[in-house]
Parts: sequence; C-alpha cells; structure tokens
Amino acid sequence: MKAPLPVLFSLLLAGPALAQHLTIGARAEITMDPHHQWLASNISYYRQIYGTLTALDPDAQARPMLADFRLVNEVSWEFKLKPGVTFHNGKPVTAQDVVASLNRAKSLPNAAASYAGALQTITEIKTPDAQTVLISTERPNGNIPQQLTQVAIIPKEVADSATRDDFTSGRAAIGAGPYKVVRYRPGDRLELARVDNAPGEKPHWATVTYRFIADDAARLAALMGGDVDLIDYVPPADIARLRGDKRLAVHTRASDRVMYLIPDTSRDKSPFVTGLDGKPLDKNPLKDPRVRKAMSLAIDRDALVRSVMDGAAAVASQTVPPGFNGYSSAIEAPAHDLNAARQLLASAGYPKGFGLTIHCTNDRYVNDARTCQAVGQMLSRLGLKMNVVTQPKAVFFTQMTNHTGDRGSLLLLAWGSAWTGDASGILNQTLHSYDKPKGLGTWNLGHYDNTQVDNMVQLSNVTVERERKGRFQAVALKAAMDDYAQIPLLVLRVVVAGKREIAFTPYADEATLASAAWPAGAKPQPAAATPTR
Amino acid sequence: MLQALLRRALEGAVVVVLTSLLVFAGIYLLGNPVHVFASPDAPPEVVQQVVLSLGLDRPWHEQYLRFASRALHGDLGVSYVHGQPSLALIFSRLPATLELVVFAMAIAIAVGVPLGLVAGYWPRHWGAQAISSFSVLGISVPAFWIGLMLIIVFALEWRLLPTGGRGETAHVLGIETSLLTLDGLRHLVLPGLTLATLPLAVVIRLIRAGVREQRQMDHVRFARALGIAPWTIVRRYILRNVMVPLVTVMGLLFGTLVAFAVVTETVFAWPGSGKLIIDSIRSADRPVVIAYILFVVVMFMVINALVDVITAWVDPRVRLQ
Repeated sequence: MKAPLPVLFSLLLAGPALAQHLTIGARAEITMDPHHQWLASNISYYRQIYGTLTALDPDAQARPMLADFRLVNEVSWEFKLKPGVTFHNGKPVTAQDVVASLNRAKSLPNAAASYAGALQTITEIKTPDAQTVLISTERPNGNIPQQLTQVAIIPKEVADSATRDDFTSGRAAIGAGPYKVVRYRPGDRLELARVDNAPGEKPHWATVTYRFIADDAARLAALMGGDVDLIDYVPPADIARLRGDKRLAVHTRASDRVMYLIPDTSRDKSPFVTGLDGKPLDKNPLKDPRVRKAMSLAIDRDALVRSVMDGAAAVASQTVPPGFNGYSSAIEAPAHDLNAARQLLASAGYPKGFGLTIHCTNDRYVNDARTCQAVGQMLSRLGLKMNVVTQPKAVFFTQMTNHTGDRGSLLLLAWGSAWTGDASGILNQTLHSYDKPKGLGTWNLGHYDNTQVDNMVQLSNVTVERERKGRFQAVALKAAMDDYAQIPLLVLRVVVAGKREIAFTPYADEATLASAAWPAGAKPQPAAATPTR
Repeated sequence: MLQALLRRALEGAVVVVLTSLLVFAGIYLLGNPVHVFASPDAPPEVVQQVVLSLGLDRPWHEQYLRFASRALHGDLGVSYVHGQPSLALIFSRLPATLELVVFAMAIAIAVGVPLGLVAGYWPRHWGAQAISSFSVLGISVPAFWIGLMLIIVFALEWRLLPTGGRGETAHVLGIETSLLTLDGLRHLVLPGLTLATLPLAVVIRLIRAGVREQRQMDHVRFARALGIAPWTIVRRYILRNVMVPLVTVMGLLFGTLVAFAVVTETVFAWPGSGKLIIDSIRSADRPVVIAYILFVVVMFMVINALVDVITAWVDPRVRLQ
C-alpha cells in the first residue's frame, strides 16, 4: 500500500515538481573539516557546501565557481569574486575570506593529508580590493585554476578559530556553496538543504541526504529496495542486472583513471624477479625495453575489458585518458600478439622466460584483484613463471612506496588525472625520475629515469599556454610509452545507477553531485554539464 | 569479594599491557602508513611534516613508550583520518552498536529460553526436534548470509522494511536511541534479527541440554513422583540450575557481539563501532585500531568480572575468591 500514494499525489499535482528530495547512497563519507584531508571524495562534498573559487566540470576542467579568473602575466593569476556571492550566514564572500581559507588549507596543523599539495608553486596571495585576489607563483603555472578547484572557501572568522569538533558538530560548517548542512551523523548520513542565493545554476532538489554505505552489496540493495534514489561506484559485475531492471537507470562515462603496470626499470637485481629455478637472477630482465614490450604485447586488453570489467572500461594506449590535455593521439594501444611477444622475449635472451611476482591491491581500485589475476595468467602464457600477490591497500602502499627498500618488481596501480585536468600529474609524479627534494617522481615506483622525458616534463611545467603545454606533455608521454616505462591497461569508467525517474550527469572525477541529478524529462540539462565523452 | 575483584584488576592490567605491546608491534611491522592517507600529489616536505608530527620516524619501542605514557593519561591517540581522539570516536559510535546488541540479546533470551525449555522437556516431540534443527542451523550459517537473505525477502521482495542504515532517533537522558521511534525500530528489525541468530541458537542449545540433564536428576524425579505440577518443577528445580551456565555464556556472547558486530554492521550500513573499526583498518588509521582492540580487551575483562558476581548471586554455592 505504500507505493500508490505518492504516485496518486504526483498525478494530482501534475508533474514531478513534488519530488524535491534526493537521497544518495555514497561509498565515501565526508570529513567535515574542509582542510583536514585532501581527497577527491571530500571535495565532491565541499564544492556543494563550502564552495571553491573554481570547480571541475564533468570533463574535469576548471570553470569559475565563486570567482572568475584570468591570467595577468606568466606568474600571476587574478580571481575576481562574483558579485553578490554570500556565505550561508548572509555575509558577503570577500578576498580576506579567500586568503584566510587558503592559508588554513596550507598550514592546518596535524592535517592527515594536507592541502598544501594543491597549493604548490604559490608564493604570494594579495588582495588589491575586497573582490580581487591576486595569486603569484614561483614559476609560470597554467594549472592554478585547476589547483584551486581543490580548496574550500570558508569565512575568515571560522578559518581563524574553528576546531575540528566545530566542523563535525556542524556549527562551523558555513560556506558559500549551493547547499548548507542540516545535520551530520558520523558513519551514517549527511543532510543538506538548498540555499537560494548561491551562485550558478540552482540545483533542483530542495533537500538532499547522503547516506554513507561503504559496502558495495549494501549500497546496491539500498537502491533496489527503494531506500535511496541514486548510488555511486556501482561494481561492473552488477551493471547488466541493473540495466535489466525497468525501475532503474545506469549512468556511465569514461573516468579520469587509468590502470597500468609499473615494471622495475632501475635495480640491477630486482627482489621479485627469479630464474625458472626460483633463485634470484643476477640481472634484471625488466631493465630491457624489449622484455617490457613483450609483456605489453602479451596482454589481451580487450579480454580484460570484456571478462574482468564487464565492459565498464576501455583499452588504454597511455596512462592519461583520451580528451585530457597532454594525451598523445600518436600512441596506439599495443595489439595483443602472443607470437611476436614470445619472439621478442627470446631475442632479449629469455626464450624460456623467468620468474616474476606481480603485486596488486585488492581493495583500492575497481576489480583490482581480478585484473591482477588475469594479467598474471596472460603473462604466464608468454612463458613467465608468474606469482600473483594481492594485498589490502594499507599493506600494499606502506611497502611499495618505500623508495629505498624492497619494493615490488611489477606493480599494478591506477592514476586519476582529474584534479590536474591534464597529463601533469602522471608526468611529474609517476614518470619524472625520482627526485625527493623537488617532490618529483614520488609515485615513480619503478624508478624510471629518462633525461629526455625529464626535460620535456620540466619544459611543459613552465609553459602556461594550454595548447603548447599539451604538445610538450604529449611528447614526454610518447617517449615514455615508447620505452614501456609503464604498461597501460585500461581506462576505467564512472558508473552511477539510480531510479528511472532521475537523470544524472556523471563526472570524470567520480563526484556524485546532487546538482548533477534532475527529474528525468523535467528540465533540460545545463549546457556545461553535458558529457562530451 | 573486594579482594577478589582487586586481584582481577591487577591481572587485567598485565593483560592490557601485553596486548598493547603485541598489537603495537604487529601494526608497526606493516610499515609507514603515511602514503595510505596522504595524497599522492602531496609534496615531500608536507609528507615529511606529517611523519614527524605523528612520530612515525621513530623506532618502534620509542613510539610505543610515547603511546604508553599518553595512554596512562587517558589519551589513546588522535585518529589520523578523523582528527578526533580515538577513544572519543569509539564511544561516539558505541551507542548504536550497544542498541543493536541489546536488541539481539533480548530476542535471544525472550525467544530462546522458552524454546529451549520446550525442546529439553519434551525431546521426542516433533516440535522440539524442529527447534533443535533450527538451532543447529543458527549456529552454522554465517551472519552475512542471513543478513542478505533477510534483505532480499523483507526489503527487496516484499518491501516491508528498509535495506539498512539507522533510522530516526530520539534522545532519552542524553542517549541517542532508535528504540523509541517507529522509523528507528523499522531500521532495527533486520540487523537485530541477523545479529540475534547466533545467540538465539546458543541459548536454545544450552537450555535444552541443561533441562535434559536436570530432568534425569534425582531431585527432579522425586518432585515429579510427589506430583508437583510440571511448571513449578521447571521454575523451581530446573531453570534455577540451568541459569548458572547461561549467565556465563550470555556474558561472553554479549562481549563477542559488541566486539564483532562488524559483519552485520557492514551488511546493513549500521553506523556502529564495528563499521568504524573496519573503515579504520582499511585506511590504516592505527590509533583507532589500537584503541579499539584495547577497549575490547578491557570490555571482556569487565564482563567476566560481572559474570562472576552475577553467578555468585544466582548460585549460592559459588564463592568469589
């Protein structure tokens, strides 16, 4: 007897205008203090509550949110706050609030993952007037608008005095975003209400509840049982079933994340490479690009897409997804060719193969453990004696990020390029040679070292003009991919599912925004929110 | 009695110290957790600053001493992820778990004791045999499966109850509880039943075995020969003796359910301490993991002491020593 009543009402009132409330089953919980932990999942909440100077569009490109921006000269950017933008307490957002927020983000004591990383290269922040913020950088940096999508803006008085508990209790959760916090119950839910004078497109839903359901099966059950309207991070294996359900709709697009292998290209003796007899090898075969190419050729990426990812992925030719600045259209994904791979391996001096262990996470990326197993099998067919090790991320990352100790010899990782919006993340952090003092190559866990790539990366870093920068990045990326510094596997997809009555625009950075959902057919999607890929 | 309890407390302190050492050493062996929660793009000086502020660069015995001296002042460390004191975090999530466990235990006792009596008193009756088979099933079937089945039947097929989460709550004497609102109760039923399955089965089997044993005893036989009504015999001569082991087992089960409601809380997205500990393990939030394990150890010791006191009260033959 429950279902017919709302149906009756909506018939009476003609139209879906009645549906003003949206419940989202979200995988990740919010950290209420907006400057405590730098995580993409946090920012997708913050941009709705606190607001940011700029915000990512569905294609992960920075667009004005609280402020319009322009390049003043090579090393400075101007952000002009939009007129009439106010905080939830009615006070206007001023340049002073921006400065206080950026400073707090940079230097909040005991932050678990400091936002200082998002404010890199910024040397000085000036406020010529109450509406203008001038940001100077130590070198030309075209990524400043992208970087500022990450940092939430809060009132100066809150930034100066609020403690973590003030945010958790909701007292200090004052921002300039389209929604304000009504109630936060840790581990359970976040309730939001729409603010009517927020900048930009007014979201459809008057109230929104995020329920935190970390378990995949529980999230799916909540949607199928009608308890929530929308869920994020749908496991690929369930897509077919959801598509077969007439009450539900699946929304998907390419994400910003590419899954890839990192071979050990630096150590002369690699700890997890052995001879066929299981004894350590004196030489590291992975240092030979022919061996790495043979491994790449031996991987049947189409089969991975089909059978491991149930179609929710695409073959990757490089570690940056198509459409991002710096993507090189000159690189083709290696076609699966086992014979050529075997010949290549033989010509490199390993006709019978060698023993190799692949290390992977089993709770970090979509289907990471299954991909790991499949890759292990494919490399066995090449003739390698494979040993597959999957670990929880808490174990994997503590061991594999140890730059001086016994890291793995072959790792499976994924990299998301959303917050940089281009190839700069993958180039600086995973392909540039490891340089601890400069903070480069922190995730270059195979210690790939190529001067040509390094130079090109550095050149692209100081180039502001977008097209030129992208060309330099593409050159660097092509050089690294031709050398098989990394073996790209798959471009993952964002998969969101919801009730049929709701239309949704997925975002490349996997943000599940309330403003990206509309009653199906009630109102056309805003032009900026239309997916292009 | 006071002396006995004091000795208990002393022994307990030794256990707590040993456990903390073991847990600390075990977690330390995993390595430096900073890269699990620090952003991949964070510059090295920022990561280094985090490492220094958390003392992660020190050898493990130094880290342990630092931890121990703070623990003596009641500070079990601050959660890396939430930025709140870990003990406070655990206690903030505990009411939800306790509510679930109390609900499950209430079901287990209210339903299990009568069923166990029936099964033990008339062991040959088909109903009694059905009850016994059910109890075997209850012990052997894993909780997550029962939870999923309940969700499929009651929430997905019949759409009678919600699939998970905690419903509306009301505040009574400063305690947040869902027992007093209709929505809260609707959310409590399925996880409560799931969690109740194991203790229910254990209670049935325990009472059944006790009753069968007591029925054969001479004093019960004489009472029957005297023509005393069966209900009086059960109440006065059988149940009293059966209660003693029941109290002990219930105490242990209570502790187990609080500490390991993890599975049920995960399946039903119940915001209790079990969900907190699983999330903390996944995110390498060490202070919370350590605090939780120590909390569980202390909880078990308190429960055991309480059980002894209650046993002495129920059974006059038992003395606390």
